[in-house]
Amino acid sequence: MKVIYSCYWGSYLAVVAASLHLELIDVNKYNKNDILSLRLFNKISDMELGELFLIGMDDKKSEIYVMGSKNSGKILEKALKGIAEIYGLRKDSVMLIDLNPYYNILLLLGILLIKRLGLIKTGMKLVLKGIAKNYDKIIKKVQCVKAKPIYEENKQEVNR
Amino acid sequence: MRIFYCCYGSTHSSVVAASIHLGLLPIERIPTSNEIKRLPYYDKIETSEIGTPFYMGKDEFNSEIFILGMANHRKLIRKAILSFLEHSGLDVQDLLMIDTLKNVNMITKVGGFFSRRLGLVSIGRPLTIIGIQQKYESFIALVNDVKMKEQMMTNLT
Repeated sequence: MKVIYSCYWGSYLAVVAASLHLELIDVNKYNKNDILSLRLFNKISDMELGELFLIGMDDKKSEIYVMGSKNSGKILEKALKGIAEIYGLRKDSVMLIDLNPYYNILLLLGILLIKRLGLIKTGMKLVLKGIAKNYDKIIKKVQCVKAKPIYEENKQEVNR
Repeated sequence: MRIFYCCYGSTHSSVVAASIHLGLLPIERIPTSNEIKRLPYYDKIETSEIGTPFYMGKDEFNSEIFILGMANHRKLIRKAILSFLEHSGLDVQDLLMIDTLKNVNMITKVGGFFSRRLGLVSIGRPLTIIGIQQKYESFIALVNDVKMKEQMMTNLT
């Protein structure tokens, strides 16, 4: 199964959520240095939107990806599920989690400074503050994903 | 191989192109309003269904023909589909995704808005058909192009 964490740019909220899923960063406490050290954090260019990046495999053998998908999440998930079915994969072999609802004004402003004005230092401070503000919500979302019925089904299949 | 005709809502231009491809519409003349109206999926896909690929049939080269709506995200979704297939270890060499939206004129767009967005089917549907009829030749040219590509790719494999 492929679990794709996605957000508008792919390299902020999606990377944090995927890393929480894989427990690459502390799920109990927010630590900005942990986040800054993530391989793809702030590293996906505009040209790479729509591409899947593999972050790792979790304990249930699901492949965890990130993707920048602008605001196409809903349509994109249907397209990928449909394509999976057409190509003989199970419809539930792909799951897309859209993290756009977790953007806040700090994050948006920070990304604007980084991407459009090149003010990386100031922008990054705001981005990290924005992530810290919604960190608990992102953790909850990831926990929900891990507890989803499809995901459970997949686990059983792997165990069989 | 698999061919996806892609547009905004997978209900007007992609349906027409796929239908020409499959011989459901004539290539030597402009089809009547009724011939277009009775096509499967024509002006019938709901906004909530955009993104879901629909199967239209199999052509003479044994290729499967689909329609797919990608709203305003055509470039991104194409890329995502290719990336997804590659990461799944599947071959993307025998896949064609054809954008049909470039053949849509203002009349079809306005008609589509009335019919699909506002639910005013009796006003919108005839307008979409008039627009398609006006641009019909470019649809035939597009499908001819696709079939040439398809033939070349089928011969290679």
